Amino acid sequence: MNAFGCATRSIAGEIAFRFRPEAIAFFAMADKSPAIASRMDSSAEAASSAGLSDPRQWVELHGDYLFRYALIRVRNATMAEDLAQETLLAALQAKDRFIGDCSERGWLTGILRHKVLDHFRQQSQERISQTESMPEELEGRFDDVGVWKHDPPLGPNEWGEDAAAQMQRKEFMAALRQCLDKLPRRCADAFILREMEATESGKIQELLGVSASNFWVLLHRARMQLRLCLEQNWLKP
Amino acid sequence: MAMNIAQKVPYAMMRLMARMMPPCKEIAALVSGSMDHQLPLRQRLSIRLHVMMCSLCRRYEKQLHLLRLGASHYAEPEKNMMEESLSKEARLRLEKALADSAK
Repeated sequence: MNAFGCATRSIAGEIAFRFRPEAIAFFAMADKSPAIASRMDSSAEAASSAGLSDPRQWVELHGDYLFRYALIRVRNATMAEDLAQETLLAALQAKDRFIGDCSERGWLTGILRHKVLDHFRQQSQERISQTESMPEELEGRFDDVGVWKHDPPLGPNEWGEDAAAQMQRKEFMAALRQCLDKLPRRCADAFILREMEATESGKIQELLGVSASNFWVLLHRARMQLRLCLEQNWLKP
Repeated sequence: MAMNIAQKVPYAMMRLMARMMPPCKEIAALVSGSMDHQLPLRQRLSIRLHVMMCSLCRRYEKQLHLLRLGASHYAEPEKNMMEESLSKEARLRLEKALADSAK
């Protein structure tokens, strides 16, 4: 059954997979480990493929992990708790179908991932669809012919040689979280599904109920606004 | 703030180019699009040609890829360093739900 598959490839691995070779070489500097793809399954408490641990221990072993995984994506603590609970209950129901092809945590994450995607789908049905236009804060960074303004300079600033390494730090995590909160909801949803869940574009359009062109606009705006927000809040001079 | 000559010249060049080719504003959108789907050859060439000449868009493209990298770290609870945990009530509720359901 599809909904109970493993989260076999980690997100970082999934994303590195999509990079062109030069980008991979570039980011390899940031991530010294050659085996980024196996990160998620190598956690200390990963169950041996022989079987699952006692379900009574699941909350202790994986509760916070599942809660955080959901919280990062749905950005609402109550919702994240509910999703973690639904996941553990669904896992309990399905535990006899666990065939041990991945770690316990990878298996639980796979279930949660489907619940998170369902959550996005349900939410998009409840919301009235609206097109996001570019706000003046972003639009106004270009001059009359569409070139980055130079006086005062409003183009991207240099982020420094070690920006990639800095992105492993707590300060970056906090800044990104704040910046995501400032995005219009649908922009944030599109960005999270694309860049954090590494979901395929067509699938996100279907989940969010938007046309392809609207989807590109949502992502373009999300990236532009996040880039600017990070520049202003994370790398303050 | 007055521009010095080192800023003025490339800016004037980019303005001139913008009249003939897609300007920075369009390139920014294309760069974003290129990260999600295969663009037609013509658009890919526009990007490459533009970033060859425009250091700001070159930087923009690089930073969007960095943003993607950062988002992938952020997405993993093990790397995220988030401090929030399940609340005590939620933890008890969950443990009870699991125990009830396991009966």
